[in-house]
Amino acid sequence: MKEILIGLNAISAYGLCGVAGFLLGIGYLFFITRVKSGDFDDFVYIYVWAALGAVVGAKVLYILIGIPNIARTAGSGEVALWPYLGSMVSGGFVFYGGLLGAVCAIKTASRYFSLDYVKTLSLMTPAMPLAHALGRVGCALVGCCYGRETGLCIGISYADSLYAPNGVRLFPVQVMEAIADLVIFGALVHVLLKRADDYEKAGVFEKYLVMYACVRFLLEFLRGDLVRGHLGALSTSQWISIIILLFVWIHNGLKKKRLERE
Amino acid sequence: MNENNYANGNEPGKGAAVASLVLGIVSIVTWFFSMGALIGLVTGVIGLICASNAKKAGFVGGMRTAGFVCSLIGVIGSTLVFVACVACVGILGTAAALS
Repeated sequence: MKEILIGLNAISAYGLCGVAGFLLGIGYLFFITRVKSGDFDDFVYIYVWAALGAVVGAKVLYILIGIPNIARTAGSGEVALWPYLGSMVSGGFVFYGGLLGAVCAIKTASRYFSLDYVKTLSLMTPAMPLAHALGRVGCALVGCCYGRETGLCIGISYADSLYAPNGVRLFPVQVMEAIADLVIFGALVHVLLKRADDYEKAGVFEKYLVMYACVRFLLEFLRGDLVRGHLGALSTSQWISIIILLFVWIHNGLKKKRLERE
Repeated sequence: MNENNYANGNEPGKGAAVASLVLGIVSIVTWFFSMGALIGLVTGVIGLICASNAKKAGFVGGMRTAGFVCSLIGVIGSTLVFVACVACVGILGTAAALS
């Protein structure tokens, strides 16, 4: 019994916030499938696989980015390798890896259940920023993905965080991203409700990519956690944001030409 | 009308639905065995696969839904417990190495 209680106490607020975000996403799907004449049962199955794909993708990218640190740790001998690898498995996700994992899972699951991929992705897209917002609240609670040092009164000071420097006021970049995600969620739902059922023309997922890439690129300048990957003056996530914006620009251009031909 | 009524009793997807339910229950039970949560994670994911197979086969009913829900709860709980246990081991190991 004691072990059970100790185990429950050890469950991270980050994990619980992630679960809360996941459940909120299901609530959103319940609403949108009623409005848009979708099968809630179908969408829940695909949503669950998308969530698993997101977790796997986010973790894989986190580990890939951390390979230089792993190599340095293994070589230095200052910290035992297996506990360090254990800490990498237990903590840390990179959003863009999760996004890629989720999209791949949605594509695969839509094909498996013989559903329209574009409609499925469009209706499911707003659940991504909604769940992500709760995830960022979890980050704020445990201190990961922390911001730069600040003297502002809105700064967060941690007392016993395992990730952020303690006793230092840090910019609440996680909270800002959570708020931005909620705004993006509202905007995407507005697009879905306003538009007729021409999901390809509505481009809900493309709009999400553009909005989030811009938000992420800007907020990265306020991040203070140096363990993230960097290439030159920009962080890995900023480079990914630029690549995403280019991809959407090219994709929309090609889509526009194709729709005009049709 | 129950879409699962077949004269010979072989309903497509029923076996997968039953497997999903069993695996979902197993994945929940393993929560209480610390690192056994890793097994719970694996069985939960397999339970979700079985529920998906049952759905694709056209099986409709409470057993498939129950199997899906139990497997999902098992995966979520096992992930939380497993991550908590690995985090504890990682932190304790790192602290011991640094002291």
